[in-house]
Amino acid sequence: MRGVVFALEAVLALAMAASIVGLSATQNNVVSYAPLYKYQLVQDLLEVGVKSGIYSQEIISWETDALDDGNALKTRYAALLEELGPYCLELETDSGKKLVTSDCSNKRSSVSGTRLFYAGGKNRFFRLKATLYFEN
Amino acid sequence: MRGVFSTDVSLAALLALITLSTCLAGIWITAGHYVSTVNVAFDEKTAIEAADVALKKCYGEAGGAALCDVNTLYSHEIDERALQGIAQMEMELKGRLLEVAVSISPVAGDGTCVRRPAVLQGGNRVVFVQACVKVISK
Repeated sequence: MRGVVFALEAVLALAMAASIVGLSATQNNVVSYAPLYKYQLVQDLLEVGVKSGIYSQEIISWETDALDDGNALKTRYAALLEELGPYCLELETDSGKKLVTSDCSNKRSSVSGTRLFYAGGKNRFFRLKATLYFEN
Repeated sequence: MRGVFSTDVSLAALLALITLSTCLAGIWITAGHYVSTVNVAFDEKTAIEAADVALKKCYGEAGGAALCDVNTLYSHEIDERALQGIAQMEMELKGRLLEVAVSISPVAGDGTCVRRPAVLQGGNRVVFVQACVKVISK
């Protein structure tokens, strides 16, 4: 009887050890700096918008000109993203104008950043929010 | 009866041995996995930092001094001179010898690479700063 108990305990210990090892193997605790890079990317994209004359002009025109549908800006940012990877960018202004470079629905994660722009013609500031969508 | 007892004890001992080996193998595998992911993360972090340094205008001219300037931090504008060639350097990190290559080039590099957009100083041209980290020896 004592022997049976010993064997039973050993089986239980084995089952426990195997489940702990199995559980730790399935846990995907990957150390990664990828989120930091994504955050830097969205800041870079906004910074390009501020620093580059063409981008800045197109952003201001898209926000202030009712006839500007933002297609030129969309194409420009889409070309930028093509060099960076499978990302999708959404731009949104205070007034509610929004554009996306491609279909963002299949991307699960996102990071955002904002910049202030000055529309000289209208003599006002507006905020541009950029959201970068990506797969994990 | 004694025979059954000794068989059970042997079985228990065998199972205990298997349990012990399972635990040790688990620890070994987990430790190996952890070390490899930490190393990959360090390469990734080094590449991110190298690209960041380049974007902060600390990008060295070929064989020359770095162009760091605190006033232009985070400007994200790249000096025209930075277009010349690839800055390649070796560095030792956590006992591993790494090769870090920073360039403004759309060509795919070796190892762990990051690419960040920037504007050429005073112009409208958007370029990509690319930093790649490759392990030379462990």
